[in-house]
Amino acid sequence: MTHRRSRLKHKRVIAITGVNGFIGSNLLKRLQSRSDYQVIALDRHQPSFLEPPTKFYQIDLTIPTIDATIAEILERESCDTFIHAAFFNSPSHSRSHPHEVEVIGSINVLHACAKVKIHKILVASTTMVYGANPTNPNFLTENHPLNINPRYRFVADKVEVEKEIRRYRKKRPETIVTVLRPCTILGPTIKNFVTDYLSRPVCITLLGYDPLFQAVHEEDLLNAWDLVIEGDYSGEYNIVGRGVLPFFTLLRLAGKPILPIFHGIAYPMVDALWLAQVTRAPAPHLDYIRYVWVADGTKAKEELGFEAKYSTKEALESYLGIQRLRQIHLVE
Amino acid sequence: MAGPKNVLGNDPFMQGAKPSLLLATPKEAGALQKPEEIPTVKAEGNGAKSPASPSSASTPPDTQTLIDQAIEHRFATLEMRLQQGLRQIENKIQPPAHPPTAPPLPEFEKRFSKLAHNYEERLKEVAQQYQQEKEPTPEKENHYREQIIQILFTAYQKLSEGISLEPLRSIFRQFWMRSRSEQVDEFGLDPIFQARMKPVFDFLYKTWWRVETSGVTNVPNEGRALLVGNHSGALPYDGTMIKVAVMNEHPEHREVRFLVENFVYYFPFGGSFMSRVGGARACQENAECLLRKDQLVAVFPEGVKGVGKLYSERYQLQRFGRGGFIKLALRTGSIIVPVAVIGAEEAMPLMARADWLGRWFKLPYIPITPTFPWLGLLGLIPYPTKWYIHMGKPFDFSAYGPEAIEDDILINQFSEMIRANIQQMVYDQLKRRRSVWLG
Repeated sequence: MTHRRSRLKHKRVIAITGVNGFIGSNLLKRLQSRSDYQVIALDRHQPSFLEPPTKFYQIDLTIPTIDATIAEILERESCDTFIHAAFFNSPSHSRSHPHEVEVIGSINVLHACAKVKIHKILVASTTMVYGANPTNPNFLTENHPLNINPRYRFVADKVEVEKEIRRYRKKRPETIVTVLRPCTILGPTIKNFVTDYLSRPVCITLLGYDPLFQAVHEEDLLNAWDLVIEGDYSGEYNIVGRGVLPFFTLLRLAGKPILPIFHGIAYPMVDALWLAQVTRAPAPHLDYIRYVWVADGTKAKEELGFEAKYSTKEALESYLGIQRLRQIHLVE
Repeated sequence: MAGPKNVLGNDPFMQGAKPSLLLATPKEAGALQKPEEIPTVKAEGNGAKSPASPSSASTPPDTQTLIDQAIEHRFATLEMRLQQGLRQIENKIQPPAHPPTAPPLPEFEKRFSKLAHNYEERLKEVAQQYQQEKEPTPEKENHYREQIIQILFTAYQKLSEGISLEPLRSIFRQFWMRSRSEQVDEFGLDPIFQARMKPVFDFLYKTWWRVETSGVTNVPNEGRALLVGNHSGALPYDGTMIKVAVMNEHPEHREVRFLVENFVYYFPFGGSFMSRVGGARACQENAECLLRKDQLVAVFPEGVKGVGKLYSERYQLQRFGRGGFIKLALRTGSIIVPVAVIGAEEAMPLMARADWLGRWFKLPYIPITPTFPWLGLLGLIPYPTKWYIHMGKPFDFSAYGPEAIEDDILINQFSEMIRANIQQMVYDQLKRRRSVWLG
């Protein structure tokens, strides 16, 4: 027993929440294949791909006293790094559940981390938190204020989480708190509301609005995660692919029929469709296909040494290629 | 006409034709008749409703006689064909004439009766079919519908699975992409779209406004520079004209990126059009980013106040913001080239501003010109005035260094200096001008 303890001491112990999500599951798969990491998986349901050295604890982040439970687990396993990836990747029709999981869950996680004085916290966010506004500069840097439409609950929750994290960092400057903000993720395995939009027979667009669109390949994103797990970088980082594409060009490369709708009609229409649970995103999301919200990846390049292998177009093509194979049932 | 029995009776075989020939017949006769037979069956089947039996449509006779008629007809045609076929074969084998003696007759008879039996069976089937088709039942119709649906469904499946829609899609893609490139630069400049728009801009530059550009050599051949101009005209055409002027007249044919007011981006088509031809939204971050890439950037520090001044205030330069462009030049170490644009004020003289109406459309104002809202969208066409663009001697503030950014009084002085310089250039050009339309 003592022998095992001492061996574990050399290993870095990483706790991951949201291991059933895209980022959580991929990071878990990557980390548990390496011998120098001990992974503690926290989620509501046990994933199928867990391998022996990895430990699983059933945790529901919405339970009020869960922070004490998490702190106990972190203490027992002597974790030094906490990866918080329990976030929704698509808007949900439920009003309170995402808020409970994301905001309250994050607060609980941060309480637990503060209690055990954890060394490093890594949080998954998105560049959507900058908001899509006509006054955005063409490249949003990490210092740009988070100016979002408060009606868009999906993003508003994420902004609230970011605020909590900022507060935590201010209170405990000794902790390394890293927030990764990837732009739209595209790739062969990812499934979110953007890929859902792209797999529809007809794509709704706004008449006369053709903003620039930016995407990052899922492999690039996971490489960026590896970088921040390996090294110690405190702060927010935009993780973006190379280059941009106009939105219409993107849809045309995808070979999608386009249905342009005048924006005055589109907002109420999408609102109604959202109420009927036909669309995957509510009306405030139309801002994101109306105005530019391209993020600047210079900081990640300079500080993390992160270089995207795929450009926006290549990420899109990698998604489209797999999608075509899926259509002819060659790939599940 | 011969009845079914007579067919056999009339048969040439029975009347002492050479039986030896028949050894070859079953196959050949089948080959000859089969391809023709099938269409006739079909024609009869379909013909139940239309041309073959018009009588049935008007007065429904009893089905038995109809069947008899059909069978008779069928037998007659069969008989005729059989005879024809035999005659042909006979002719072919005529040369050897009579040498072979008759083969054993019983075998021939057996074969023939078998053949005849087959035909009879077939005819019965046809008759049955005919009777069924005579009165199509509802189930039958449903069956057809099902079949059609089945065919469509399999066709769809074939299309979506086996043969993909890719060729069709690529044709669409080519069609849609004909006027846009697959890769734009990071501010959205599209080379193909720009090349397509070039004749339009050249027309405006050479024919419509007959722009005369002077001092274009003051624009550096390489490196970053800020082109600072006076803004005028209810719609900002001056930025694009400066761009065309530098592209056409400058020895290096350099590309100018111009900054566009915010309000353009609230509108459909406005923002995307501007960024495709090289505009960027007017803000410090964009200008700095472009300058750091050693580009030429045209800015109008007057902003909306410049385009929104009334005709009575024409060529009176407004306040130059808060000197943001000077800070920008200091921070990026770029030189400033002052630019005076003459003629744009009269191209769209602003009589009044409807601010209250503008708020409705999220515009700073709705311009009221001698032609605009009265002639509708036609009123937005600018008048063909004569334009002059003059580029003055460049200013270089690099001696002051980045710490000067904090010195607000200095910044203000620089800003005022540039403004006075451009104002003077405007007055000089105006003095020389004789006519608004002809220059």
